[in-house]
Amino acid sequence: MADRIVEPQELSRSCNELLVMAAIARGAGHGYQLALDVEERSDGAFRFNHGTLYPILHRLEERGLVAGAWSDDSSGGRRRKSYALTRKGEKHLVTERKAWGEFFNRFWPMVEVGR
Amino acid sequence: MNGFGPVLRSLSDRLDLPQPARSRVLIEVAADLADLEAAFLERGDSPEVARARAIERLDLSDDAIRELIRVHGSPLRRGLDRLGERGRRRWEKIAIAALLIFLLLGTRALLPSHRLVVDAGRGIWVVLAVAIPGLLLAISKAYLLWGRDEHDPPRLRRGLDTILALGGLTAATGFTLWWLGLREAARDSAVSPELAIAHLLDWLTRGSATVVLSLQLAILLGISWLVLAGRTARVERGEAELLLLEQAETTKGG
Repeated sequence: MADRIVEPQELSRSCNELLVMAAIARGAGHGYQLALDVEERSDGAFRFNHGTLYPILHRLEERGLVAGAWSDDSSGGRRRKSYALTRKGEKHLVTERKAWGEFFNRFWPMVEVGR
Repeated sequence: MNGFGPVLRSLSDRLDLPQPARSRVLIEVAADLADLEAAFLERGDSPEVARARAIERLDLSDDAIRELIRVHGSPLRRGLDRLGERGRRRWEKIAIAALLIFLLLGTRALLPSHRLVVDAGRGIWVVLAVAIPGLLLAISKAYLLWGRDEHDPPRLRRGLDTILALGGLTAATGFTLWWLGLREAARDSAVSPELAIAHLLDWLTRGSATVVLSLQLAILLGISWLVLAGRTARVERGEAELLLLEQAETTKGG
């Protein structure tokens, strides 16, 4: 049993945060890599415009779930910000995965027809 | 240099955030736009198409801007950031003046021959062991900022907050030694009650000297951090402004 269940009113926000955190956990660090990772792994089903991505990343950073760090890009001479999960973020990711699993366990029986 | 000037300029106008938060968002967006453009170029798009597609993928809607403003608008952050440029400069000047006065007045107290240091006894070495790395770090950052005129925000930011942390740790060390001294005095008094007053006086002399010195060093580190962080924030903002200027000129030229 999950510690919590995703509430219907937070579906979009929670889904976006989980997708971004999972991409960070897989090693994507910069905004561009994160958007690409999510898009490629989902075969284009989930696609982030960068405009959507920044508020999510900055909100996660504010909550202490991810940590942003500035680094140099030796090739282009441009500063870029990369993100990594914090310990709190790693725990949150596990909880959210379970919460979404529980959500779908309850959701599918509700939308099945003909049984 | 790239050609995202109008996009960044428009974003800068719409992003109602105090500095340096606005500059940081702009620098982050500029780097991602450059990445996106490079990726589209690699996939075979022409430079114009790659640039247009990168801008299309950015798509910072009004909702996204509102959310960014909300996220960066915590009361504390706003309070600090809303000092404004003139206010920030004024505070920076006040902090530098306080630092100089502190150094002038404090130098005598920090000399090894001075009574306070002698009274603090061996505890001072523990306090110094914590404070000196912070002071060296502050000196190295000051050298980067004013000596070498460094304009690389990540390099300037790296380790900056450690100075503040070491300042806090220095003060905490002083107080810990103070309490340990009290414990020692109490134990000695229990062994020889007739010398209890002498033990307590000894603790008061040593303990207060250690606390005063550790607080002086902590204040010194705190003021140093304030000055360095203020200057670094201005370098970051200058960096973003330069980015906008460069791109505005590119747009004019192109």
